[in-house]
Amino acid sequence: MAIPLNKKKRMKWMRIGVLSLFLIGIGLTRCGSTRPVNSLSQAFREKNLESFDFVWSAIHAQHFDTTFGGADWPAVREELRPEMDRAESMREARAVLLEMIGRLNLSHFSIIPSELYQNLEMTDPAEDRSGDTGIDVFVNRESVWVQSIRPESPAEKADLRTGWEIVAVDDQSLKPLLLNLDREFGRKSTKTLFMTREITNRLTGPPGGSVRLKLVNLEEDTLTVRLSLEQKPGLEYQIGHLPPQFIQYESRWLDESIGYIRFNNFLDPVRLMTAFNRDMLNFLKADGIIIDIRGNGGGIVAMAMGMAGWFVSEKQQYLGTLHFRENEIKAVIFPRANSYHGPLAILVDELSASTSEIFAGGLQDIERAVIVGSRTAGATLPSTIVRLPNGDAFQYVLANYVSRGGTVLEGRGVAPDLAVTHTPESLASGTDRPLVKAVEIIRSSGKQ
Amino acid sequence: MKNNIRRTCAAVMTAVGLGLPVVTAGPSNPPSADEVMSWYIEATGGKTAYGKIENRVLKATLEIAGTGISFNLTSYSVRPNKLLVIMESDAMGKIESGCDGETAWENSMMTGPRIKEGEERATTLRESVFDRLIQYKDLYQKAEFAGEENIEGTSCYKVVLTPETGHPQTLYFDRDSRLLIRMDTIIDSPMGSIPSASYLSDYREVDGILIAHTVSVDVMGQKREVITHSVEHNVELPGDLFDLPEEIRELMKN
Repeated sequence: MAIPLNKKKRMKWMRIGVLSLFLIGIGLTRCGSTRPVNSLSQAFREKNLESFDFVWSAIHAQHFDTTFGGADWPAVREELRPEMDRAESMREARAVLLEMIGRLNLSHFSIIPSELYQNLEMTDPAEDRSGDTGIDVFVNRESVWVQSIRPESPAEKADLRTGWEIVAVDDQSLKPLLLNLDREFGRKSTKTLFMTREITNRLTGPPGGSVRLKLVNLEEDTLTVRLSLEQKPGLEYQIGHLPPQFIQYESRWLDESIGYIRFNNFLDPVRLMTAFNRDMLNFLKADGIIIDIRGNGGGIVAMAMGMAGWFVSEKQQYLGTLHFRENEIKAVIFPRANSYHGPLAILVDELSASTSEIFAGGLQDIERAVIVGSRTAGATLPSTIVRLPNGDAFQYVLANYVSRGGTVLEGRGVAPDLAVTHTPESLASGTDRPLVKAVEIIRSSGKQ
Repeated sequence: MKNNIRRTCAAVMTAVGLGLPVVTAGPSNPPSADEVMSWYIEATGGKTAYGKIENRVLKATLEIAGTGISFNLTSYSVRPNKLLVIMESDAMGKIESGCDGETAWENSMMTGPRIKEGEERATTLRESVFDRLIQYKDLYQKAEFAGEENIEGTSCYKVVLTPETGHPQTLYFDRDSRLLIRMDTIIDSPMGSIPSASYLSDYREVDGILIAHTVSVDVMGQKREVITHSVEHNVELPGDLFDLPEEIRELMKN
């Protein structure tokens, strides 16, 4: 049975960790000047020292592990601050900062160079990226494929097809960019997430603008098209100081017996939870339910707790634990009055991050859901990203997260029970392989 | 201050009349917890003024510092022990919590409905008692004077209220004004035990009693500020205001 690819745009908001809001929130904050500095003037050296002090102090004051991974933190400052003072280039300054945070031996701390920070859309929340082409991409190592095309979008009107390879955007070849990012992120679990984000950013901009794509079709012909950018679908939502985001939610019956729900963020509780609660009541007698959180960058953990309550009837279950410096908080599941007891499959991919991983990993650990797809991003730690005085960005962790089963998901991600991913061939044939597998699993569960 | 002078004069006159040596409260003669509590009750209006109030409707704004997230908050409290708190935010939705004197509950748009149990329930029942601190003797197993402490430049008397079960509350009263300026406790919930410190300020008189109109709450390093905009007393409230929501009634069937 082939299930058509979901042609609706799957917006990938991948604000790693930043959206790991717990009950209330952790958001983007800023520190100091927002203007990148390009030369090592005395003023710039001072900015670097201010940046060093900020990074050191933030870790000293807030890091959940008071042993600092075995490092003597005051001694680290004494040792490295003079090196920062002597740094004669940004490369050297970053190396000092990376050396400092490297002493923690944790994966989720990072210094993001101002240039990359700009590219990653983190600098200017006011930057307009509300227009897109309707293309959803699938990044596989050095290649980018058209994964889905939104109906009525500029991409569909231009007769583009899933499975085509995108080789350049606005005359910039994508392969060198992906190779650079591959080097930048090395073996980090979040590599695909960032790569996809980079490509997605290049396919967005102000509505009314356009992008020029160079593609290779299934017959291996190369063609060039210019696509206009139109307003992204979804309802605009803003929380606190974070930039506006477009929330997409859809639900439908598959084969008239399996409930299917997909959403692109754990945000906008007013609209999203209302819709989810309504659909769960509708699906209570379904043969099975599939929750599709592929491409879901996370959000408010409390929403994951609330959604999980529809699938669990036992009290005192929880998805995992957040370990702060002096306390710990459990992501508790509060069972609903009418919870669903049938088969549950959760679809994930490398772009499922943060709260998505907490949701999927927690329900996997308590053996309530079968996880289908590919390993998730491994970006579960609640963290924040701040702008440093020298223009770079500093991402740091506020708490450790351990899944219900005792696994630290950070840097590892949730391993699917059934690993299934797209292939160029499946994309070309319009088959959503992970979804097909999820349906099979539910069908086989029903027979047992 | 006028109350302090009057109280001191009265104490002196009483002591003289009884032929007792005249003493005043000071470091060498620390007051008892009951004295500190009674000074607080008197400083905020006195038992008579409190006794005239049957219910309270308080409207406030709750803001989470640094996040840009805020809630509109309305609380309804009725003697002897009914409470309903409604928090609403465009970004975060609605969170209701309440107590009808027997059942303590919460219904959050994010986490769903739940009935509070165990220590959390006991704490909610206790804190739903109208003007709880006025009735501290009935609600806490013991009240102990725990010395003096400087809280952000203010010399304070420290009193620890210990309930029969659950965590004690530590109260800090301004030595001069006798007002409560800080309250520390541990919040119990199924998610864990979380320490909190509340700082009370901007006391204003409403119907003869002083009510703190600004409360800054520090929970795990995150600050939340509650600014009260209006307080009304003895308001006509709907008869079913404290009835359990349908979602909670459904849960009770399980």
